[in-house]
This record gives sequence, C-alpha cells and structure tokens, in this order.
Amino acid sequence: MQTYIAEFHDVAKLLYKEDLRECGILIKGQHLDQVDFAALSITKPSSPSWFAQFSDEVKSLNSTRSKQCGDWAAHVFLTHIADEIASSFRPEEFEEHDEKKGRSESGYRKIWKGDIEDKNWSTFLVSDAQGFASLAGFIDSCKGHEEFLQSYAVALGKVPEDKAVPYNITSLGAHLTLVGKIFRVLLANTTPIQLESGAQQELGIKLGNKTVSQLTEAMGERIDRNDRGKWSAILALIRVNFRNHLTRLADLNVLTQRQRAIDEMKGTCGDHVLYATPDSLLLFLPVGGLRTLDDLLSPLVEKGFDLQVEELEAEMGLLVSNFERGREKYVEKRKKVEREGRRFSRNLALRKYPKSRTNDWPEYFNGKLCEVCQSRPARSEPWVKDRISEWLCCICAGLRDLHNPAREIAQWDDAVMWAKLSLDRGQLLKLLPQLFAQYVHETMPDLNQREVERFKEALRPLAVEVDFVNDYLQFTQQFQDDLVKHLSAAEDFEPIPWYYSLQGYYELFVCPVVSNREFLGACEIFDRLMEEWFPRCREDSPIQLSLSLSHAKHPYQEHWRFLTQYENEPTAPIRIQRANDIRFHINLGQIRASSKALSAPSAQVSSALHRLAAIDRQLQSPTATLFEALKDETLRDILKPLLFQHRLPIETILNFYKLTVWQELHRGS
Amino acid sequence: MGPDKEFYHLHLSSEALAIGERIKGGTFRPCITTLPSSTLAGAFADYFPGLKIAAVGFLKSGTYQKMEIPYSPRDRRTDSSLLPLTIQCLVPSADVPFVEGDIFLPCDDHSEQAVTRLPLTIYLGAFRYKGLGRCRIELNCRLVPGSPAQPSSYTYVRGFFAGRIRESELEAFGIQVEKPRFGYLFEPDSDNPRTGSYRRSIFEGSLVKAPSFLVSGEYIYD
Repeated sequence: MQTYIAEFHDVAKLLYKEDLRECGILIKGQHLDQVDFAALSITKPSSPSWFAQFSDEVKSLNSTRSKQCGDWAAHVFLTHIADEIASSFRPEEFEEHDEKKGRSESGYRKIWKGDIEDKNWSTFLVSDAQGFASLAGFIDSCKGHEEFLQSYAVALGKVPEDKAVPYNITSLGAHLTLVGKIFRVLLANTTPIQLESGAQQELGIKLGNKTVSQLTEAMGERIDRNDRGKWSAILALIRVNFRNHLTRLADLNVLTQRQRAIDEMKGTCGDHVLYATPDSLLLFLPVGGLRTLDDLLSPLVEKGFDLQVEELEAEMGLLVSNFERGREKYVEKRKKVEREGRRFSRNLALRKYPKSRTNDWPEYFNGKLCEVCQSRPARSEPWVKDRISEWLCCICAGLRDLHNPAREIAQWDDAVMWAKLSLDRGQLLKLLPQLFAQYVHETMPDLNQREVERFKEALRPLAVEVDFVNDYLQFTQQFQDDLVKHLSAAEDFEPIPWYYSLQGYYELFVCPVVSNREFLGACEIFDRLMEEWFPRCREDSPIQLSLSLSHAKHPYQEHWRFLTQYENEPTAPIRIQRANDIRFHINLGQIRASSKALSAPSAQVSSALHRLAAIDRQLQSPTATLFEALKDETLRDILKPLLFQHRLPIETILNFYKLTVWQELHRGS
Repeated sequence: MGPDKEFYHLHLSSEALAIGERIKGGTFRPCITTLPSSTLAGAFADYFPGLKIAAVGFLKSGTYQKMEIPYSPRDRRTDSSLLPLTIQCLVPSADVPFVEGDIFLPCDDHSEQAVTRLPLTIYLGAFRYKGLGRCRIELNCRLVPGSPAQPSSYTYVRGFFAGRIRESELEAFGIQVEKPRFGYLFEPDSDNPRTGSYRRSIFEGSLVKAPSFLVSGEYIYD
C-alpha cells in the first residue's frame, strides 16, 4: 500500500542546490519536478509522497496543480494547512514586504545560543548525484514518517526550516515533526467530498459540517484582514498537577505516574500531542472533529490529576502558541474595527479553567479526609506502616501501594541533596521574542528599533518552542549524568553508592553528599550546562534549579515544598536551602563571583561576615552595612565585587559562606 | 448581573495564625492562606452563640510570610515524645506589623446583630493553646452592588474564586460555579461540635461568577 508522508513537503530544503547544479541537477524553488530524472538515469519517484512538495502551491482543491496531484490532492491541501499552522513566519508577509530578497543564507540558529549551531550546516545537505539518487529512491521506499525523521535526523537538526537570515531560527526537524502531526490529525478528522458546481464536479473537503475547497476559506486570512476561516482548531496547554503532599517516599510515585500518564497520552492521543514536558502537554485538535478536548483529557482526569487548562480556539489561520499575545492582537484589531463602525467577524477565544474528576465527589461524608491530598474522602480502613496509621483516599493509597520508589534514601543515614530542575513556559514565551529581536539586531544592524519590533511581532514561536523543549529535556538528563560523575569523583571518598531519580523523569534527583559544599558543584554544573546549552538565557532564565540539603531523615515533604514552591516565580535561577536553617536565591553571575571570592574560608572571614550580617539585621539599612563592610579590612576586598557589582545582600553572602565551609569527614551509613 | 445582595466587609489582623485542613496524625500540618467558610463559621459560632453566620475570607498577600515550627507533642500516658510535627503558620512579613485579611458576611438579621458587637478579638485556626490564631476583627464597611468606580460597592464578575466555601453557602454569596475545583470542608453537627461531616466545597481556583471581592482578578478571557 502506498503511503503519503507529509514530512516530504520540504524535501527540497535538504538539497544543496549550487553543488547539485554542478552535477547537472537543476532545482528551481522548492520543487523537484523540473529535474530531468531520465537524463540522470534515476527513476522518478512515483510514491504519493512525491506530491507533498507541491503543497505550497495547492491553495485550491480544484486548481491545475491540485489536479496534477490526482487522488492525493486532499492530502496535499491538508499538508499546506498544517504547514501554515506550524510555520514560525507567514510566507505572505515576506512577499508583501519583500523581506527575503538578497538575504544571506545560514544554518539553523538556536537563538538561545551565542553562535551558529553548526557552521558547516551545508555539509549535511544532499550535494551530489549519488545522494540525490538515494533521496529520490527513499521517497518511494520510505514506509512512514518515523523512518524519514530517523534517516535524516542529523541533517534535520542542522538545517533550518528557512535558510534566510534571520528567519533561520527553527530547525527543519521541529518544523517537519509539527507539520506531520498536524497533517495526520487533520487527515483523520476530515472527509473529501464531491461538490456539484454547475455541470462540473469539484472537490471539497469536510471537517464537521464545514466544507471548503480553498485555503483561505479554510484558514481565514491574516488578522489584519476580514475574511474569516471556516475551520477552527484548538491549541491547548495542559498543566498536569496533583494535590498530593509528599509525606512518605512512596508518595513520589505520583511523579512516576504523572510521567507515565503523559507518556500514555503521547501513545493514545498520538499526533494530537505536539510536545510534552515532564508536567505539561500542548495539544492540537480541530473543532468539529472526531474527538473533543474533554475526550482527550479524560485519561488524565480519571487518574485523579488536577489539570489547569489554557485553551485557544481560533480559525486555523489565527492559531499561535503564545496564547496571550495572540488574544491581545485579536482584541486590538477587534476594537479598531468596531471603532470604525464595522463588524468584526474573525474568531478567536482564549479560555482558562481548572479540570479535574467531578463525578466521584459525594455531597458529604462522615469519615475522614485523606491526609495526603487533603481533598478526597479517605477509605474506611487506614493505611498502616510501622504501626502508624494514615487515612488515605483510594487514589493516594493506590500510589503508596505501587512500590517503594526510593529505598536508598530511606536506608541512608547521612547527608543528602535534593535537586530539582524546572522550566517556566510563561517566562520562555516572554524570552523567545526578545532573543529573536536580539538576533535580528545582530544580523541586521542597520534596522531601526521599529523595524526590529516588526520582526519580533511576526514570530510565531510554536516550532521554536519545540526546539527549546527538546534541548531542555536533553539538558536535564545531562545535568543528572554530570552531577553523578562529579559527586563520584570527590577526592578522598568512594564513588557515591547510589542516587535516586525517576525513570524517564530527569527533573528530580536525590543523592548522598559528603559536604554541603557539594551544592556548589551542582551550581557549577548548572552554570556550565547553561553556558553550553542556553548561554543567552543566563540573565532571564526560564530554567530554574532548586537544591535542598539536609540529613537523609529530614522530612521529605519539606524538601518537596521548597523544591516546588517557587516554580514559575521569576526570582533567580538558583534557589538553595539547608533544611530548617539557610534559604537563599542567587543568579549565575553571583554564584561565580561568590565562589571565587569566598574560596578560601578562614575564621577571620567567618567572624567578620557574622558581625556584618548582625549589623544588617539590626540596622535594616543597606547603606550602613555597606559602610561597615568597607571599613572592615578583612572583608573589604572580598565584598566589594559582591556588594557593588553583583548586588548581593550581606545575608546571602553569609549563607553562601556558611554552606561552603561545612564538611563531613565520612560518607555513608 | 447577579443577585442584589449586600455584604459586611470585616478587617482582620493577627500576629500569627495557622489555618489548615483538619488532619489528625500527620507529621506536617500545612497552612492555607484563605479563611474557609468552615473555619469562620466555627469561630463565629463560639463568639456569637445562637447566630448563624455564613462568612468567607482570605489573607492579604504581602502581609504574611510562611514560617515552620517543629513541634513534638508528648504522650502523657507513656511520658514519651510522639512523632515530631512540623507546623506551618503565617506571621507578618518583614515590613508590616500584622497579618491582615478580609472577611465577608452576607447582610441578614444574624450578621447585623454580630457586627454591632465589633470590634472583637477572636481565635482562629490551630494551636490556639500555643498562642497562635489571636485575631482582631473590625467592621470596615457595608458593600452594596454598584459600579467599580463607586466606593464600598462591588460588581458581579467572572473569575477564579479566591477562597474556600461549602456548596451549601454558595447561594448566600450569590456565587455561580462554572468549573469547580472540589474539596471538602468540615461541618460540625449542630448538637455536638466535636462531631460532624465533611461537606463538598468549592476551592480556590474554581471558575465562578461571583461578587468581585471574592475572585482573584477578573477573568479577562472568553
């Protein structure tokens, strides 16, 4: 059976046209149909995927180009819609402003990185006759989109969706993945039909009860025009939360279960899931299709998770992943049109609401309330361990009984460090346009601020976000691997005998430490990896690290509370606590400077810092403390950069110092 | 537009308080930053016997910070310590003298009688015998339906509910629930306040239509 693979629509972007021209292979635009396959002794592909490359030209189901696609015209048409939704920039905007003429070409640029990802990007393109023949053969032999994405994985990670600077900020891989997913969802939810048009039969395609045959009829036009699209779709961001307070280690199972539930969603909802992080999902579904959002979310709801839903429902042409910004633009436009006394007919709605299981909440009960989630009725029998009875609801008891996930922590009798990484999507969506503006400014220094802003406003960050999330997930794994290596390499100590993390969930990590000072190792690894993966996010980082140190027997819930309570609060990227004692936050520059300035602890420094902190607490005056610091000969040179350049409060400096000086002399129980 | 109700707005100030779910036997007692209708109803029943008063409230952000106190209760029979307990409580944030909050009561004969006895010192929440929960409440104003520009008035808006309230009390406040976030609040039996049942309740984060003072920011979406 022949398979249509929408991912092939950008196949020409994998080709290095200049080199191929020298081999006698002439490629015009984004299409391969002008290549003389016979002259090259290459069999012209006959697979339906061949037609995908013409999707940019199929704006009508009844156009000449569409008719050339034969039975696959509807597929090609839907590919065009998917391509429009997934694109980081709208092609018609370039045409209108003639943006791309004469612009230099470059490889895929990660805007959160300081330089071009791979300067030799063009070496990953197909540049000789043999490679071209192989690609042409692959169009026919490829069995599915997974095979295509795997076979060209390296090139797809290096080549941008659009090579023209500064639009080269989305990888072709992320773009094709999104287009493929959206295409398959649309395909599953639409039906091609024959329309009567006078004596002629024309092709239409139906979603729910809305039939279209033109691209603009389906998607609508840009927000600044008034033609409404007939087809709407939903982009929904789902935050998967839980109410459980983690009181025993077994309660950590809720994290594994959440990970599993999200992975299952990726399986059961397949292409509806555009991307997933350890605690959220971004879903796409057409309105009027076979499945509703409630239907898609029911497995998560049934498992007892508390969902926070943000749902943007709009004509397909107005869908953007930055919901708030999309709505702002829509409202601005609506107000403007209405002020002019005209009717605004476009369709976009943003909804935010909680979603959880509502069918098994009795009106009242006489028993006990669950001690872990503190929101559902407890079972009639207590959950008993070590002669301690706890009253738990069915869901929380079920999680406890799954297995004991972290025996190592329970059996350990020494110091441990809990580390948690998190990604703040709100901050990420604020940051991406800023990083893009910075890149535009660098690559086109002649542009004025207004022109740079216009570029920034044109960015549709969905695919860029997918690339960022992919990097973040790899970053979390590398952080964990590097931290394990670092801890095991501690001088005078055996390698760490264990570490605890949840399978497939790299954001949380617990490990034994020989000294509080090892928090510095974790911070240095975080700093180094931020420099390696996200150097341009160091100032306003959407990625945060929380570290909590204590004896292994310290109540787990206090770690968890600290590790999660500041999530999504833009204070500083690193937060540190020693349980029941020290708590502070610090940024990457400050941690470098403090580490350098306080590298040689001494009794004199210690006593001087304590004295200054006491003065600071008593006088509550930063100026007075500053004068005291400058008078103090022991501290003057140490503190000057920290207080002036890095603006660290004296209490934070003292806390940092206290944490770095304490050291245990043995490891293990 | 919602029902034409009027409300008393009371002001609360406290040096420290710990309001949380009624959990026995746990090793950690988290506190919440709302004043659930169950907590307020219980306290008012003590101070205004014979009056049935519905009330809901929340603490003002910026006036409190969370503090944790380790505490080891003692078993007097065996003269030994029980499992250590960590109590979370709210104390004033660095630059204010008191934790402050707002309490709202629908105007009726019962609440009218109660407000004539204000200001008053009452005890709310847990560990009252350890000195927590002492609160002074005083009448701030009477809120009437009106426009946002009018002082001492409110409007009906759509938004995320900021408190915790039993379903049976929703009508008294004119709250319509669109997307609930359920939980349970304790309701003592009328003849014996030591026993009772848990009643289904609406928790913070539920999407509601309600008087503007009960929601955390108006819902600006669709």
